[in-house]
Amino acid sequence: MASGQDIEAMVRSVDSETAASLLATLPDETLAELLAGPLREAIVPEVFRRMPERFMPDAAGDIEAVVEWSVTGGADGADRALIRVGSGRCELLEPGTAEPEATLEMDAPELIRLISGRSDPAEAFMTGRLRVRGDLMTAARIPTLFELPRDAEPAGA
Amino acid sequence: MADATVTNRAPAGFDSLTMAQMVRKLPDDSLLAGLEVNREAILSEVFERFPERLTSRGRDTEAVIKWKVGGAPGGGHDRFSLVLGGGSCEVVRGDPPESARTTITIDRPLDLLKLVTGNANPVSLFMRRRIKVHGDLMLAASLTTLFEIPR
Repeated sequence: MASGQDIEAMVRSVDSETAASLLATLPDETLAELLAGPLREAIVPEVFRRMPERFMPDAAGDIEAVVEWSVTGGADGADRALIRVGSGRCELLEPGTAEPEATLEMDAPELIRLISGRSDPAEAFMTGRLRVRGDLMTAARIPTLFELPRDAEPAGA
Repeated sequence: MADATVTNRAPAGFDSLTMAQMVRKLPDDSLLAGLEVNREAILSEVFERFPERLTSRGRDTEAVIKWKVGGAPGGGHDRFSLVLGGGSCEVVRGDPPESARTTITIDRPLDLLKLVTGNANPVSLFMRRRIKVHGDLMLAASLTTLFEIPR
């Protein structure tokens, strides 16, 4: 296993999306360590920005919902994103333009784990790593609707 | 925990079976952490699931059952009521519209979570005074025949 500095250098040398994918493959401790630093400020907005194109309409089925992501631990408080899922699409909404049915709150490492499928939303909720306000049924499905970037999949997956 | 493999996608949604499996699988301290963060959502989920677990015997029952769950923010108990009648079960947040035939008090929310998911023995909890019943004891004792417990 490469050292923390090596990994940080590697993650920094690629674009933010690839970086997010690389992070998804790291052990929990390394992930937490890296996202406690300045990388977090680049990664979290990038994950939000990519949600529409990573969205899997088939997985979403007939879900129609507006949900808010709130990622704690940012330099200026939580980073938030409002998304609308429905009609086979996911779109990012301007903050405050719609009332979310559910809010999902977590720290940055948990965001990466959830979005990459490494963390089960139901377990994250039951253990408090994911805080849910509003409609739990919708909230528990949202993190599973995004495709893991291809280059983040380990060999043989 | 700390391996780099990407696990399978979680099953879609969150139903009472998922909750039962989680309560069975997770250690108490993790569940307590979950209750600390998501108490309101977990308790709402627990009570909102009662109607769909009503048995045929439950459908034949007319009764109001009040629950008091301890550890509420600021102290005290959160109240939920199940109103059985006319073949269905209505969940009311707070005190029931009419007086309850039985009131079930559980001071530790984790006990409730284990009870409704079939991970704790109600008689044993009752004997240890971790479930307290006021009013109709027979009705309280027959709860497991009025509602099916997820397995």
